[in-house]
Amino acid sequence: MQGGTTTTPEVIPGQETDLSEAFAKGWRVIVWNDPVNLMSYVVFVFMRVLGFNETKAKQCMLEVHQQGKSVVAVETREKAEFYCHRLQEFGLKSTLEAAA
Amino acid sequence: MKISKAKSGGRVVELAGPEAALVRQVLESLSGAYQTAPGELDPMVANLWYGRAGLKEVGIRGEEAIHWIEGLHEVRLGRQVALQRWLKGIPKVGQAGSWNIPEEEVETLVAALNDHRLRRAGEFDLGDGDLEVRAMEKARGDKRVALVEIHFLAWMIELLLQE
Repeated sequence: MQGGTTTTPEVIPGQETDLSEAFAKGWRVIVWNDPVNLMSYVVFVFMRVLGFNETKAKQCMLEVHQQGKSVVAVETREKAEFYCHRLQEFGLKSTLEAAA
Repeated sequence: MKISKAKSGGRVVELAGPEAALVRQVLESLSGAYQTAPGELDPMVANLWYGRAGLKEVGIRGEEAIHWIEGLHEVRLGRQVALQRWLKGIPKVGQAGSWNIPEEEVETLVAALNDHRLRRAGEFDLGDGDLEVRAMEKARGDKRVALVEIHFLAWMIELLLQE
């Protein structure tokens, strides 16, 4: 590390808002229905990726099946992206959405 | 086909000769698809494995989107390594026999079998109606082969998850 001068970090307008948005649990992870993935497989993936117990995993799977989609997590941006990516790794159709 | 839990926690998959041949064919063709770059896959399959839906809307664009897709491809390349190992353990063509899956590979196997189901459905743009067992009886040619694979692998996934 160089120098001995203390400087105050410059606050860029708009950046503060971006950071608070990123750390707020304001991001939904949505799983969409598809005709190929088996119900039992979706339950298995929810348990593995999201850490749901079997009851909650089945409940969310049924919501996907009957209503076309389910919000499976509301998280910080980073964690929501992580879950969304993991679900896609298992072949589930998942997207992110900013909570209103 | 019979699947039981091994003492070690893994699975023992007992396959009749034609079943072993089908699983081998599935894994060999899946291996090729995993090694194919996302942009070179059948667009319908690429959409199922490496879809970009919803990324742009949440600001994942350009390099970030490329990184997202590359991450999905890396996971599948990882499965491909396991797949090569499994191909050595499956009974030889024309032979019945058992195939041992270590406990730590069961999840990967289930995901790989599901990937193949998605891939075959994508290749023939199969929807709800096409995937009913009765529709398989009416299908002909390559579409019928794809449906046989999809239903056979569904059965296999169910058995793997039950144990």
